[in-house]
Amino acid sequence: MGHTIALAGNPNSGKTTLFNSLTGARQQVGNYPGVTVEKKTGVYKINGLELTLVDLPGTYSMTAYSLEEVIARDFIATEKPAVVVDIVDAANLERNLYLTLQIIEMGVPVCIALNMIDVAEGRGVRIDAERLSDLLGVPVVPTVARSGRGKRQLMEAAATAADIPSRAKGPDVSYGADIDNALSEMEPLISEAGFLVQYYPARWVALKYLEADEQIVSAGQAADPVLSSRLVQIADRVASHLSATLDTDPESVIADQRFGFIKSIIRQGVVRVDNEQNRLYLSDKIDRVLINRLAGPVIMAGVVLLLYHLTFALSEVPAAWMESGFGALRGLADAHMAEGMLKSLVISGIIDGVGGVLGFVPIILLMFVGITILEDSGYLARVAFMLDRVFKVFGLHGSSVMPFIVSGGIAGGCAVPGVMAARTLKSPKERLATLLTVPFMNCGAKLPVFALLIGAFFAGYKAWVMFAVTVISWAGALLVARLLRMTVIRGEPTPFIMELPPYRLPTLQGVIIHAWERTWQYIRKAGTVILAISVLLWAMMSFPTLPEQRAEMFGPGQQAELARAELQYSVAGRIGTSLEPATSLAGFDWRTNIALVGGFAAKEVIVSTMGTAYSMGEVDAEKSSGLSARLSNSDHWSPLTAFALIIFVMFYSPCFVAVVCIAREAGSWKWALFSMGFNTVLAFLLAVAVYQAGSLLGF
Amino acid sequence: MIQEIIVFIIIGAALGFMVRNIYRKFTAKNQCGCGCGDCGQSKECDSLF
Repeated sequence: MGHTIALAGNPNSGKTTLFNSLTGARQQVGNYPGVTVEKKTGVYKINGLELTLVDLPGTYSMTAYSLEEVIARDFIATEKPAVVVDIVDAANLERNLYLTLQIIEMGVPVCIALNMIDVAEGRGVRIDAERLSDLLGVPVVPTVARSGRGKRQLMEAAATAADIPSRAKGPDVSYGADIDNALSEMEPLISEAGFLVQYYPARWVALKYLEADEQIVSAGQAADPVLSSRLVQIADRVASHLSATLDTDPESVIADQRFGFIKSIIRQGVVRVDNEQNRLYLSDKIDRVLINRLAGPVIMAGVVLLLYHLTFALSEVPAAWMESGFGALRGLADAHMAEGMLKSLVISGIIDGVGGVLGFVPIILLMFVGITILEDSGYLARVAFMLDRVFKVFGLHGSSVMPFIVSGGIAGGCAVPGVMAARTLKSPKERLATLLTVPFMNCGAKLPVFALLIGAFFAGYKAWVMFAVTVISWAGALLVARLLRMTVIRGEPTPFIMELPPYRLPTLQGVIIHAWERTWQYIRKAGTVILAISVLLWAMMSFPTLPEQRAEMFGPGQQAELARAELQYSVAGRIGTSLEPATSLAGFDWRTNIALVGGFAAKEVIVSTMGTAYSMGEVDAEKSSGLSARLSNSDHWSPLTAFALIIFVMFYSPCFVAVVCIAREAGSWKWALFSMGFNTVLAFLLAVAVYQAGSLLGF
Repeated sequence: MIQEIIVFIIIGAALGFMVRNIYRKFTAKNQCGCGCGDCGQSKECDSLF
């Protein structure tokens, strides 16, 4: 026997941390609003009872302004969980209780987790949980999600509340004479007709009609058009009256009254603040420096530069081990396998292809460790806060910062969750501008490409070049956003208020788990999708085979020339060669073209394909060096070619999966195709400009 | 000859794997499907592209 328990709460209330702590699920814990969009479930066992926990998206209210609110509200209404555990940030009680009140009004049994009680106590705020419980009529349990304090008591309280057969009624909030009178008129009409009551209490439905909630009015219109019109008439009447008498609307009055009710609860001895209430909290003190208008951006640049420097410096030795390991594997295969097609597939297709991608695991792991520390400590939210000021200038919304960072704003993210995170933007035009520009960030798949080229051609100043790459990608994304907002997606900006969560000391366990999870995904992708693409690209680089007549033209001492001719004769070779007249303007040869075409499937493929393409011309595998050395020793390559390629990879078409996601999120394939075409043309023009200007300047 | 057969089996398997992934990518509902783990829903994306 068991119950379903929904976890609801404001963003940054510690809901996901509590969910992880209760279920043992390993999720990403972010510090900025909106990180949880999808539904997540887990199981908690207590006293022989199995509780299924559902982690609802973090929301500030139960209106239907955002997708998160709709998801949370629909789940509570239609799935009818036995209890909703509302996670409340004890340090921001007043604001958090707004959501609590709305959940209670939905008529569902509620249990409050007074979370981060230690932070509140540290600030000198004492909360009387029993008193709060008496006033709201629901159980209240103090908890600390990070340490697990109070989680068992919380689950016991939730299990007890779930066993109570009747639904909790909660306090009746007075919304003032005008609204209360309308509620008294509407409630009986709704109850008698059984109008939407299978999902919601009658009073709640009436409130939603007064708030002109589009989702509920639309559902009501479908269920009973006559009664729905009557309710709309009453709501319109109240709205006209409030507009004429108080110059306001029912929604504002309802919100004001809710806050007033919460204030009255808090003043009834629930919250006591110590004398030190005016002192600056530690987070505020740190913020005075870290987000200072002048010092903040300098510190931010320093932190990012330090991250890159440490990543490259610390990964040098393990990366060399990986390279020698794959070199030994290559030699082993060469010594023990019979000459032929299979040997070529194993050495050139698999070892040099997939091995090239796996060789960057140490860099990826260390980069993720750094990013996780920045994220878990709360500093990434400060980065977002500082960038918000810049974003407004370029026609983007403050909520766009998070999708940019998730997509690899510092490095190592992914455009796909970045595109998904753009759902938090309410303005369709700002959302579209964000969707089309987040793929310019340096995702984890572009990272090995940059690491390869930087390591091969800019070995003396790796961190600085990586920093320059980051700055260029941001500048490019923001300028394109400005261009789009001035032309194809013109529109007014919408206001934004950003919340800064308090600083937290990242836990070693948390950093290890999060960094390893992301690195493991990279390794697994290399072992599955990248492996499959490498095999297919090897096949494209091997077939059709060179006709015997032509092969015989090469003498015994011309094996390298023969290998090159065979590669150029293949399907991939022909594609690469056919593109060469245009791409040579940017300094790319036919081998690079093959890699770039393959990179549309997944950007890591650029490295694996180059590994294969440059390996297939080799005669003695045992003497062959790694791809990095092959490129730096090649006559065709120079630091300028490498830099032009970095620019092209940074800006060209998003990968296949990101394109599909853009189409879904934008609601049209038109914008996904625009993203592919526009980005590739832009990338090509920039790469040509860099290469030609560099050549003229003698680089 | 055996070498060629093994190679073509491997190529066929890789092709089948990719076609299956692309098909699942297009038919998946409301999932990112990238498998990168950054979106916090890696468990649902495991077998996707």
